Amino acid sequence: MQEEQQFLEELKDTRTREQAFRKLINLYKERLYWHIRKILISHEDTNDVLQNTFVKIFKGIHSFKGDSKLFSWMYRIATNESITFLNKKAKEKKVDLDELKLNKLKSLQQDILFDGDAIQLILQNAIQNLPQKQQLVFNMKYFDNLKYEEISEILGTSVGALKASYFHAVKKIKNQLEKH
Amino acid sequence: MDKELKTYLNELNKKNCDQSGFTVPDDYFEGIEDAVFSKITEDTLPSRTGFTVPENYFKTLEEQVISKIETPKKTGKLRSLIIRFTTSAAAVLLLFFGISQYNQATNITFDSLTIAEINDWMLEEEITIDSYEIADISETTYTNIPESISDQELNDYLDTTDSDFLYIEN
Repeated sequence: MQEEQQFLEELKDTRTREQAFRKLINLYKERLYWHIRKILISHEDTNDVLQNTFVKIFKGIHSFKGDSKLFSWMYRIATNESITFLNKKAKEKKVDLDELKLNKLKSLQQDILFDGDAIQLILQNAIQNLPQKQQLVFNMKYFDNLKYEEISEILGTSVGALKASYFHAVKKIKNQLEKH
Repeated sequence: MDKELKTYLNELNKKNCDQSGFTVPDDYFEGIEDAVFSKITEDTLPSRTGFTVPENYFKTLEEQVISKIETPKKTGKLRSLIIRFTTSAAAVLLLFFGISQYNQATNITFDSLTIAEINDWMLEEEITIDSYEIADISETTYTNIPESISDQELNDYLDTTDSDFLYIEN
């Protein structure tokens, strides 16, 4: 905690912030990338949103008061950026979110940056068909191994509600996989 | 069982010490079934997503992000130069076409300013305030928020509002 406080001060100090920010990018680039990628599916979209996320973190760091962990705050920005991106894309293409996700999944089969087998493809299909909150909770719990307390801090949802969301998500995914 | 030990246990029971003293979180036993089910299902799911990234992607990311952060400064300077040039040109034209009208005293109030004029002034003075800074300094009490908002209105608002404003509080 004291280390994080020190790091935050370095990020806010104009003399040290670039170096500290480079360190922050290196520490979190992969975790945030995979978090966003699981929401947006395509690498190009993920790259855009990840870079915007870091730019927003850089610009917003001075208003970060440390009420939550830095990591949770960054995850929250990445999540919101991804959701905003999806909504904007859907609006631009004049389709609803479900249709947008369906199109993304269709293109996943031809995506050279997806080397998953048939089961992984079915799993991604099942995840994308979940309601947004359940999708986020499932990805963070199952793939990112985050604790419910951490997810609660990121999504602003109670631990009890998260547990229920995760249970429903797993149940739906299981049903989807059993159909194949 | 040893008679002495039996007596000791009986004594403990009398003193209400037959419980371990351990407790569980609220609703722990209500949720255990779901938690076990989830664990069992997890074991049958693939552990990887199948997504990959282009070669060296993470090695080049840092520079890409840093260049994005540095770019606005350059744009700001360029903009400022253009504005200074156009402002000077406008001033020359103003002098040429009628310096007499310029001398008329006008009372400028905040209401009489247009948004475009404020924008021009901010650009000219290189005043850049992003949404984070506004959130940081704003202590505004919003009085024109309707008492009831329909789901549709809320969705429209969320769809059209930049996410900066939505997650700015940490």
